[in-house]
Amino acid sequence: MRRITTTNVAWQINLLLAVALLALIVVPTIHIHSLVTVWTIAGLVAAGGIVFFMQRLRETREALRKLAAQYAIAIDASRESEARYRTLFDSIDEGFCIIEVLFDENSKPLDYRFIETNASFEKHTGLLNATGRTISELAPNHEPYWFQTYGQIALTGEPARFQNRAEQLQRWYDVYAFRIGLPEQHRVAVLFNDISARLEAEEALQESGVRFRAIYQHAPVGIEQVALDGRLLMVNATQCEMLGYSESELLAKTFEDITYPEDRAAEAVLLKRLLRGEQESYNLEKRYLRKNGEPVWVNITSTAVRSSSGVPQYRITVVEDITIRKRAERALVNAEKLSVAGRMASSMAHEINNPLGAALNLLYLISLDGSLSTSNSEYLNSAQRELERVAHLAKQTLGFYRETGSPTKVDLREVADDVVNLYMPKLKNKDVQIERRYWTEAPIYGVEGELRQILSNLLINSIDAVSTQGCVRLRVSGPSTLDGDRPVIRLSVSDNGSGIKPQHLKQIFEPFFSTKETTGTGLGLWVTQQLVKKHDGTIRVRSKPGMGTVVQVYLPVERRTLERLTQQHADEGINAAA
Amino acid sequence: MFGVPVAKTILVVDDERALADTLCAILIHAGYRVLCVYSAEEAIEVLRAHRVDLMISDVVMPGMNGFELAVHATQNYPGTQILLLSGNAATQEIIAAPGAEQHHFELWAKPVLPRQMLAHIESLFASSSQ
Repeated sequence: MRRITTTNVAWQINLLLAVALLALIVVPTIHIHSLVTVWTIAGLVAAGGIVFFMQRLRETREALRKLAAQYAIAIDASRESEARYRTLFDSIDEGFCIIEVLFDENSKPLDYRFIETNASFEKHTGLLNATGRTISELAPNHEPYWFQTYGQIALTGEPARFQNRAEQLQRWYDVYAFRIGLPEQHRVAVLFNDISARLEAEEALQESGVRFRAIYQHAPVGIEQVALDGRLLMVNATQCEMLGYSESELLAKTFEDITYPEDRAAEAVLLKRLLRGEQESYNLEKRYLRKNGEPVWVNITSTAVRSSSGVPQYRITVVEDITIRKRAERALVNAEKLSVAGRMASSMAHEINNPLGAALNLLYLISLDGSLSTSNSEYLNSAQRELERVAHLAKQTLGFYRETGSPTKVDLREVADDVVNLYMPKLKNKDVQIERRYWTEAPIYGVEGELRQILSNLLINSIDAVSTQGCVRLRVSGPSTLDGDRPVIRLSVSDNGSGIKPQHLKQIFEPFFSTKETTGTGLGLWVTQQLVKKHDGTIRVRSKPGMGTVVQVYLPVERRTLERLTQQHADEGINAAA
Repeated sequence: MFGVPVAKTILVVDDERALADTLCAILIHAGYRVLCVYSAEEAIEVLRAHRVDLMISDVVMPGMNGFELAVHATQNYPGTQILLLSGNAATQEIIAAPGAEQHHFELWAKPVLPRQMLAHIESLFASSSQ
C-alpha cells in the first residue's frame, strides 16, 4: 500500500494564513500621522502577501487534487480486492472459516471462536450464525481432538491435513488448516469438506463388495473367470471343491485341462461362435475331470464379457454339478431295462416252465422202468441232470429279474447257495474266499426273487469292498427272537474289506448315495432296505474303516408276513391297474 | 403199498395236459390214489364226489383259476390240503383276487422236480397225520 504524506502542504498553507492575519491586525494600530505612509507600506505588504498567498494556494490546491486522486484510486483498489476476496470466500463449495483458538493459562487449547465463516459453512456443519460464537456454545460435546489439533497449528504455524469425525455434528470431515494473521492472534484458517456421504458410499460399496464375494464364494454353483486363451483367472470355492483342486492349482490350469478329453471338441465349436460374437453365451452339458481323474458331469453356461467397443475380454462360466441327476437318469434307464427284462423273463418263464416240467416228469417216469439197459439208464440220468440244470437256470435267471413275485415258502439256504453260485466266477476272479455256514432249517415266507436280490446286493457290496484274497462270510441262522419279539431268521454277510467311513454310515440307505463313483448306481442298499422292509424285516450295519463290514438282515418266520405280502401284492395290482 | 392201510387220494389239476398226466403217473407210481382233471370246473365236480387229501393245482388256467378253486376247496372241504403250482406269469393278478388275503396257500414255482415234489408230499402227509 502507498503512503500519502500531507504535512508539507499543510505547513505552507498555515504560514501564509498567519502572515495575512498579522498584516490585518498590525496595520490599523500604527500612529495616525504616519497613516499615509503606513497604509502605503501596509498596502504593499498586504498586496505582496496576497499575491504570495494566492500563488501558494494555487499550488496547494493542485497538490490536494493530486492527493485526492491518488487516495481515491487506493480506496477503489482496496474495495475491489475486498469484494473479490469475499466473492471467492463465499463461492467455494468447501466450508471455510477463520477461528481463534482459546487457550488456558498453561497454553492448553480449550475451545475456539469463529471469527469469520463463508457461505458454505452452514451446509457443511449445520451450525447457524456461528460467527462470533465458540464451538463449545454451538456443540458442547465437540471432541477435544479438534482443540488440540487447531491449538497445535496456532502455536507452531505448521499446517495440517486430516480426516476425522465430529460425533455431535454426526459428520466426517476432510480438513486442511493453517495459521493466519499474527502468531499471537492464535488464528487458524480452516478449509473443510463434509465427506460423510462419500464415506458412506465407500462403505456401502465395500459392503456390497463383501456381499458379492460371499455370494461368489459360496454359491452352490462353480464360477470361473476364463481368459481368452483358456487360462482360469478366478475360481470360487465351490468350483475348487467340485474338482478337488486348491485354488492355486486350478489357476495354473486352462479350462481345457480340466475338461474330459472327449468333450473338448464340442465346446471348442461353441466357444468359437461365442468369441466371433454370434452368440452372447452358450450352454453345454459336459464332463470335467476331478484331480483324482474321475469325471464330474456338469452343466455350464459361459458368457463373454466385452469391452465397450465389443471386443471380448474374458468369459464368465457358471458350472452346475449334475452328477446326481446324471446318475438318476442312468439308474432310470437301468430300471427301465430291468423292467423290460423282467416282463420278458416273466412271460418266458411261463412258456418254458410248463414243457420243462412235463419233460422232467417224463424222464422221471422212464427212470422208474427197471428193464432199462445200463447204458440207457446212464443216458437217462445224464438227460435228467441236464434238464434239472435247465430248470435251475430257468428259475434262477427268469425268476431273478422278476419285478413282482408271489410270496412262497423260501429256504434261505438255497437262495444263498444260488446267489453264491451266480457270483462264483467273480469271487474266483478276485481270489476272494467265501465261507458259508447255515444253522437253520426253517423256511421263511417271502418273495424268492426279492430275497435273492437282497442277498445278491449284500454279497456284491462285500466282494467290491474286499481286496484280492479277502474273505466274505455268509451266515444263515435261527429262528431266534430279536428283542424278545417274534422269531426271526438272521442272514449275515460280513467281510474284512475297506469298511464304511463313519460319516457315510448315515447315508448308505439313501437312494443315489454311492462311494463307488462311476460304477455304482447308489440304489443297491436302498433297494435292499426297501425289500427287507417289505418282508417285515430289519437290516443292521456295523462297520469299521479298514476292518470290514457286517450287514445283518432279520426276517420274520411267521406266516403273517405272507398275509401282509399278499395284501401288498393286491394293492400293487390295483395301483397298476389304475 | 405195505404199511399204508389206506392210500392217500391226490387230485391233480392242470390245463397243461402233458404236465398233469406225467405228474399223475409219477404219483400213481409212488402209490397214491390219483384223480386227474384239466380244469378247475372239473375239479369242483371231483371234490364233490370224492374225499381228497391233497389237491395239487396249477394257478393260471382258462375259466376258473387255481386260486379261486383253492378258496372254494378250503371253504367246503377243510380236510383237503392244497398245493398251488405257478408258472409265475400272471400269478400277481390272481393273488389280487378278492378275498385272497384271508388264505395262505402253499405256492410252488414251476418247474418242480419230481423227487422234490414226492418228498414234500410225503412230509405234508406225515405232519398232517400226527
